[in-house]
Formats: sequence, C-alpha cells, structure tokens
Amino acid sequence: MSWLKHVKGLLHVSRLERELDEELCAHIEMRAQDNIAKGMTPEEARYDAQRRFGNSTLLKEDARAMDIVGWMETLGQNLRYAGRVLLRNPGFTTAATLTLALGIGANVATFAVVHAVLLNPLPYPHPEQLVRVYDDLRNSNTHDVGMPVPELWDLRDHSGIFQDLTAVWPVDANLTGGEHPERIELLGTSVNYFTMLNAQPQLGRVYVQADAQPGFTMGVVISDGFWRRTFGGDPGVLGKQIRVDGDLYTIIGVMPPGFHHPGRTLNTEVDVWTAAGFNAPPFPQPVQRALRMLPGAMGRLKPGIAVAEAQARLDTFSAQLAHEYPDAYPAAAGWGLRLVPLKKTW
Amino acid sequence: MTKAKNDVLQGTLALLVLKTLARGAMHGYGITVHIQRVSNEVLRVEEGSLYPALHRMEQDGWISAEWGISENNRRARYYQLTAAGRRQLAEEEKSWSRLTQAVASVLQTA
Repeated sequence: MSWLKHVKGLLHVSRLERELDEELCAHIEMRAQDNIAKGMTPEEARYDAQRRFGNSTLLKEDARAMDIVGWMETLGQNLRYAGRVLLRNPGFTTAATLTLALGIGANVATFAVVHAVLLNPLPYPHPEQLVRVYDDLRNSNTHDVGMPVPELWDLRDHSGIFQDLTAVWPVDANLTGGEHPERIELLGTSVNYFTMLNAQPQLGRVYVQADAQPGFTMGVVISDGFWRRTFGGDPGVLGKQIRVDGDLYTIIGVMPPGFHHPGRTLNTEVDVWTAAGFNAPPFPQPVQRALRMLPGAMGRLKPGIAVAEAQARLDTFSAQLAHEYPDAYPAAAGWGLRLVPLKKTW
Repeated sequence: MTKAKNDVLQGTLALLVLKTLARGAMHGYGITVHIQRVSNEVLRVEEGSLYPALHRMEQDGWISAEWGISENNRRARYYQLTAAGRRQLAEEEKSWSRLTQAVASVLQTA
C-alpha cells in the first residue's frame, strides 16, 4: 500500500462524487418515469422520486465515509511500518528527532514571545482602551516627569476622553509585625483602579468608589502570591491587619493568581494595592499644581475613541490648561501629555 | 417524518441485495423495484440505505460495478455478484434460516 495511492485516492474523490451523482440522478429519473406510468403528473412523479432519497448530500457523505474508514486502517499500518524502520536505524532516528526537537523548540520559544508581546491581549475587558498617561517636558527632552494631583482631577473630570483615570504609584515598602521584616511592593492607586480594570478578586472584595477617603483608604487588596507566601493561603485572611512602613492596614480582598498590575512594577510583582485620595495628610496640603507628586497615571478611554483621536483631544485640552495656569506650566518647559497603549509600556 | 413500517430490517439489506443480484446484474433502482415486487410490496428498500450498502459491499469485494445502458437508454451503474459475493450470499442465507427457525421454535413453544 503506497502513499501515492492515497494521494491519488484523494484526487479521485471528486470523480467518485460525480459518478455517485450520476448514479443517483439515473435512479431518480427511472423512478419518476415509473411514477408517470402509474398516473402521476410529471411534477408529482419527480417530487416523489426525490423525496425518497431524503438528503442526497448526506447520502453521498455516507457512501464516501466508507473510503475514509479504509484509509484510516492503512494509515495505522503505515505508522507501524514507520516505527519499525526508525527502530532499525537508530542513528538516523536520533538525528531526525533532534532536528525536529530543536526546530519545534525554537518555534515554540518564538511563538511564546510573539504571543505574549503582540498577540496576547491584556486579561481585562477591552484592553485596547487602556493607556498610560505621561507628562513630558519637551523643550528639555525629559519624559515621564510625574503628574500634579489637580491635573489628574482635571483629566478625569474635564478632558472628555477618559471613562476612568487612576494614579499609579509604586512603592518599595517594609512589612513589619511578622517574625521578620519583609520587603514588599506596594502600589498606590486611586480608589477606582480595580473598577477601571474590571478586575474581580478571588476572595473578599476590591476597594471601590464608596471606599474613597481624602487620605489613605484603610482597606487593602493583596496578590495571590503574597497571600500564599505570607499567609499560607489562609482563607481567613480577610480582616487581618498588616503593618506597612509603620501604618496599619486591613486586608479586604485577595486577587486571583492570573491578575497582575498591567504596568511597570519596581522589582517583581505588586504584593499590596492601596487606595488614596491624595488630598489629605500625609499628602501635602493644599494640593499644588506646581508639585508633580504622582509618579504616573493610567486610564481607560471612552468607548469608540481611538488612541490617536484621544491624543489629539488631549493636546487641545493640555494647551487650555497651560493657558489657564501659566505659572504651573511655563511655556519655556514645553509641557505636554502623551498617551501610550498599555500593551506597549512594559 | 415517520418511518414506513416495512422498511427493510437492519442487517437483512445485504442479504436481499445479494440474493437479487444472484439473478444477474442490476442497477440500484432495479434492485429496489425487484425487492418490493417480489415481496408483494411488503418490503421497501430505502434509497438512503441502499447506496451506502452497495458502496460498502463493493469495497468488501462482494459485488462489482460497471456503467451500462438501462432499459430506457440511460447510463446506469450495474452491480453484479463476485465469487466472494456468492460465498457471502450462501453464508447469509444459512444464518438467516438459522435465525428464523430459532425465532419460530420460540414462538411455537411459548
């Protein structure tokens, strides 16, 4: 049984089908003629002859399936033969296997990178709407200089392009109160951070708008990794208090293992998320536009606004702000805002 | 769609087709007509079962097929028994009569 025969068999499928077609047509024709002879009108005669076949496409498939069963059987024989040949030629087998393994491995590695970087969307609904917002001082060619708190509020409430906007403030923090002090990564955000990402906890709850405080919100959300590492995955962790940099917080929720902060982190992963209003002690009072206190901001664009269009509207809006507050935005600095789709920022 | 009561029983179709072809080569339509007429319209071969069955029997080597011209001058595919088909027919006739005798004796004693 040669491979060539299978290939030819496959090519013959269409010829077989034509023959089957012709055979079935002849059958229908003969039945129709007999029907007419029995006194049916030609239409009735033909309809009756065809009706008896039911679905003629299905019928042809049934008839053809017989060929495929045979094909599968010989495929099994061919595979067994291939196995014997490979066993008899171990040198060739090793070389071929290694070549295949390296080739497949390289492909998998390449695809994994491409998949992660280009293809795999962020694990949040409508990731294409998520952007980082950078403050740049173009005239001195300095980028990502930080955002004043009042500017965050203006962008959120008056720019017209954001559904949601949150500060992102990574902090290298010290966890105390356990057996040993531990260095952890804290992320300070606005209270709408999780709502913006539409992220759900695996345990407890996330902080929401109702938790908003002018200063710090007491309830914090922890990562799955931190939960397992520090609390051994204890389901009773909710309500427990942790002391971070001397301040006491209460754990209100645990994020699922797949959730990661969709942006740059300091060293590894965010362990603890905390919310702040940045508008009361310990933050400087009153808020100042001249103080670029927030390290960064992250937003979700309104539906239907593409990044390019959002950028154009943001340029107009920032020109208005600069005009309104010339002291905070001196013309010589060339201040501007830049949107970058979240996928490209890390 | 309800199935007609006297559709040929699963498994007996091959026997009936082989027996019909024992009389000589015939096309598919002729086979259905013959079975229906000889059984006094009691047995009806469904077209939807007949052609897959013919194809299967051809693959098994019980019958062979070639194109010919029908009574009314149409190209039609004629099936005829092979030597293997004749042996198969003898087998199936034997097992059929064993089966009917067995059923009959159950019916008589019960």
